[in-house]
Amino acid sequence: MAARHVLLGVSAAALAATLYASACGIGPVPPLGRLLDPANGAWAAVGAADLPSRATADMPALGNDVEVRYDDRGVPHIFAQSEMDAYRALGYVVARDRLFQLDLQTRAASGRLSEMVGGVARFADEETRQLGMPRAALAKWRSMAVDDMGRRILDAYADGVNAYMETMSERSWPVEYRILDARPERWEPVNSLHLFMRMSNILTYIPSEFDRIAARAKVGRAAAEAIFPLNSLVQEPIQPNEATPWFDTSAIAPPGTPDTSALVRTLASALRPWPFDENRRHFASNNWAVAPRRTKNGYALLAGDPHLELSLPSIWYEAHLVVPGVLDVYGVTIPGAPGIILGFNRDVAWSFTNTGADVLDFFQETVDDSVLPKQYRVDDSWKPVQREVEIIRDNRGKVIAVDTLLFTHRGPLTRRGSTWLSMRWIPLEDPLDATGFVQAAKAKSARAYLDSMARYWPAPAQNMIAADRGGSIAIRSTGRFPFRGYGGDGLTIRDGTSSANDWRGDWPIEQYPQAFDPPQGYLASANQQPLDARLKRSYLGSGDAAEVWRALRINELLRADSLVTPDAMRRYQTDPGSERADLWMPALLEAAGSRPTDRELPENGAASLGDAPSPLGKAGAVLASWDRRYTKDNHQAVLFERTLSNVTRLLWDELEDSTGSRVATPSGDVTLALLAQPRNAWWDVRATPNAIEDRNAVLARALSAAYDSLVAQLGEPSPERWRWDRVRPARISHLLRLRGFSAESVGVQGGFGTLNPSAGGGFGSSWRMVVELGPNVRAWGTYPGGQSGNPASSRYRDRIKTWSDGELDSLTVPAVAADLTNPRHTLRLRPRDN
Amino acid sequence: MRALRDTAVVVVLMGAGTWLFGWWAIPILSAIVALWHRRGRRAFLLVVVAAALSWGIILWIQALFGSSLAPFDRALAISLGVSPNGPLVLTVLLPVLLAATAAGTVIGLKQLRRPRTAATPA
Repeated sequence: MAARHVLLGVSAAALAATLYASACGIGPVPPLGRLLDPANGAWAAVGAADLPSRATADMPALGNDVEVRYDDRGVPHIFAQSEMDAYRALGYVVARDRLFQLDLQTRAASGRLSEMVGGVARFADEETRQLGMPRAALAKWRSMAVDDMGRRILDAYADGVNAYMETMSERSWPVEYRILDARPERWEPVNSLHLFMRMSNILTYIPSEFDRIAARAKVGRAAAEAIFPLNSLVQEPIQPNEATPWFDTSAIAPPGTPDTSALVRTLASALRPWPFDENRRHFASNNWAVAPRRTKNGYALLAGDPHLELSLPSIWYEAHLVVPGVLDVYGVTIPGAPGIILGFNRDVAWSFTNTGADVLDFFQETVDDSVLPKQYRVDDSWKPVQREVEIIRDNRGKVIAVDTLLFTHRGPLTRRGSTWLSMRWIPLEDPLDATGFVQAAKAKSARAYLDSMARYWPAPAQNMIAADRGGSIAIRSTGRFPFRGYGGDGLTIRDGTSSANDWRGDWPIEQYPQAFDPPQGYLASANQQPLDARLKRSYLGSGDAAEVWRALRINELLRADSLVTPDAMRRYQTDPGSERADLWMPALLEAAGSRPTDRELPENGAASLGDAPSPLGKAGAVLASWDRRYTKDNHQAVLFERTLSNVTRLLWDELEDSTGSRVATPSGDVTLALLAQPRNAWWDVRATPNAIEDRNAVLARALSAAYDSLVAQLGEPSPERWRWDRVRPARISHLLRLRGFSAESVGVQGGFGTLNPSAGGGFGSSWRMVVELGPNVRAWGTYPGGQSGNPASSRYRDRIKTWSDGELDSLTVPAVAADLTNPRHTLRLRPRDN
Repeated sequence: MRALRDTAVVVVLMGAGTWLFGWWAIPILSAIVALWHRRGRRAFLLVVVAAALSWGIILWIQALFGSSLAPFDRALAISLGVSPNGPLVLTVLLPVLLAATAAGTVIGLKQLRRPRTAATPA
C-alpha cells in the first residue's frame, strides 16, 4: 500500500514539475514545451526555412493584384498597379522575411522593449522616453491629416504588415518569440515614425557640449577649446575647392588650470558620460560619385556604403518596386520604413552619409522649484513646465518604472546635479516621415532628387549624393540646420532665461553645403566637415563626429584615377590603404630609432643600449616592414593599433578622472596636430613627475608597451600569430546577441582610418552598392547577412562571404515581371473584400 | 503484431495532436491511453515509445520540407548555452518525460482504486 502511494506521489510530482517547466518556464529558461515542440516551437523554423515556390494571399485595402517575384538572391521584385499597393506589398514581404526585427526595433524605438524582453531593458526604455522620442513620434502621427501623402504611405505599409500577420499561425512565428516566450503584436502605422526617430537618435544625438565641459573641468577653458575645436584641424570638405586638403598647424594651447566655475564643476560631475566609444569616430559612412569624363565607360558612377551596427539579420533589406509609368526603384529599405532609402531608379542613383551636424543644444533653466519644478523663467515671465507620466511595464505586464517627464517649450527638461537643463533637438520638433523617400524615388535627375529630399527631410541631416543618366553628379548636406540667435556655436550651454539665446530659424537651402558637377569631376563624402572652415558661414557642427582619414583616402584615390571603372569603385570600398597610418608612421619610426633624451630617466634601466634588441627595437622593425595597408594577412597593423591606443592613453592623461577613465577624448586630427608639436606640454606624462616627456619619449613608450602586451597575448610576432583578420575580425551579432545565430569572427580587409573600418568590432559597412548610370542602369551590391531573418534559412547569412571578400553581386533589375524568368519564389497578392 | 499496431496508432495520434494542438497533446493522450489500456506496464511502455517516435518523426518531416536539422541544432545549442545536440536530445526526452509522468500518474491512480487480491498458492 505504501509503495503504491509513494510511486503515485512521485509520478504526480514529476508530472506537475514537467508540466510547469513546459508551460511556464523556470527562471531564465523559457517554457520548454513551447520551445521544443517540433511542430510549433523553435523547430518550426527548420520547416519554414525556405519560402514556398508559389503562394497566394488576400489583402484587404489592396486595389489590384500585385505580383511579387523573388530572384535567386531572395530579392522581392514587386509589380503593382498603384504606389500604395506597392507599399502594401512591401510591408507584406518585409514582414514575411523579417517580422521579429520589425517588432523588436519598434519596441526599442518606442521605449517598450521591456514589454518584450523583460526588466533588463528598463534603463534603455527610460532613456528613450526621457529623450522625448516616443512622444514626438506620436505627436507627429496625430498631426498628419488622413489624406496626407505621408500618412497614406504609413497606412499602406501597415496594411501589408498586418495582412501577413493575419496569415500566420503560431507555428510560423519567428524562433526568437519562442526563446523569449513572447508574441508578435499588430503593427501600427506610427511604428514607422518611431523607427525614423530611432534613426535620428543614432545619427544626431551627439552632445559635444559635454566633451568640452568635461575637459574644461580638467584643463581649463583655453585648452578645452583647443582640443575640441570648432573646426576639424584637417580639412577635406564635401563642398570641394582647389585648396584642399589642408592642415591647421596652429599651436595647441597646453593644459591649464581646471575651470572651477560653479556651472562647469556641477555639470562635469553630474553629466552621465555620453557612452563614448573613441572608436565610433572611425565608422559612419562613405559615398562618392564620378562624372562621365573621368570614367572609362563614359557614364556617371556612384558608390555608397553606409556604416552602421552589423547585425543578423542585417539592418537593410533589398527590394524592388515597379508601378508602370510611375515608379521603378531598387535599393535597400530598413524593415519598418515604407520606402527605398538608398538605391536607384532608371535615371538616378543616390546614397547618404551622416553629416554630423550639430542640431542639439542645451539651455540652463532657472526654475521655481529645484526638486520638481512647475515653472521656468524666460525673460521677465514664468512659463509652465509641461509634465507627462510614463509607465514602463515588463513582459508580464507588471509595472517596473513610473517616470515623470518634464518639458519646456524647447524640449525635455532634466536635472544634472543641481542644474536643470532643457534640450532642443531638431528630430523632436520635426520628425522624419516617409514622404521624402517616396517622392524622391521618382526623380529624373540628380538635382531633382536632391531638391525633392530638401523639401521633405528635416533630420537626421545627411550628405546626399546623387548621379544621373545625363552625366550629372551632385551632393548636398540636407536637413534643418538652426541659426543660433546669439551668433555663436552650439558647444556652449546657454542661459535659458534669455530668449535671445534661442534659435532664430533655419539655414536657407542655398547655403547648405553642396556642389553640382564640380570641375574636379568627382565628389566624395565620408562624414568629414562639409564646408571649408575658412568660409565664413554660420556654425554647422564641430566636425569631430567622425575622423577625417576616410575622406582623405577616397579623395586621394579619385584624384589619381581619371578612368574609373565600376570594378575600381568596388575595390575602393574595401581599399586597405590608410592616410592615418601614412601620417603617423614617420614619427613612430623616428621614435623607435631614438634613444632616451637627457630629460627622461630610463625606466628600470631598460634603455636599449645593450646588444639584444629591445622591445622598442623589435617593434620598430615590425612597423618598418609594414606597407601600411590593412590587408587581411598583414601582421603589423595590430601593433600599430595597439600603439596608437597607448598613445591616446598617455597623451590625454590630463583628462582622466579619479577612476582612471577619460572624461572625453579628442579626435585624431588633434592628436595628429600634436605630432608636429613634439615639445607641447600635452606630451608630458603626469605619472612621471620627475620627467618631462616629449613626443618621441611617449611614442617610444607606447610602442614598447604595445609590443610587450601583444607578445604576452599572442606570442612572438609572426604572420600567423599576429594575422590581422584573425586578431581583429568583424563581429556580426544577432539582434538578441544569441551567439549561435551570430557570425562572430569574420575576417575583413580594412581597419580604422581605412575606407572599410569593419575590423575588430560590430560596426562597419552595412551595405555596399555601385551603380553605373548608362543607357541601361547597371548595379552591384551586397550586405553582410541575408534576406531572411530565419536562422535556419539558407538566406540568413548567405552573403557574408561575398561581403568579407570585398566582392559585390550583380543586381537583377527587371523592368516587367516577365523579365524575371525562373523566379525562385512567386507571391500573388489579391484584393480581399472586407 | 497487435503491439505494433497499437504503437503506430498512438504515434499517429500524438503526432497529429502535437501538430494541431501543441505539446499538451502528449501528456493528455498518454493519460487517456493509460486510462483505457488494461495493462499498466504495457501502457506505460507504449506511450513512452510513441511519444519519442512521434516527435522524432515530426522533426524528420520538418527537415524533409525545410532545411537540415544539424546546423540549426548546433546554432540553437550555442544560443541556449547547452551542449551540442542538446536541443535535439531534449526534444526527444521531453515528450518521454511528459508521457511517462502522465501515464504513471494515471496508472498509479487506477492501482489505488483496484482492490488488492491475495496471492494464489501454487
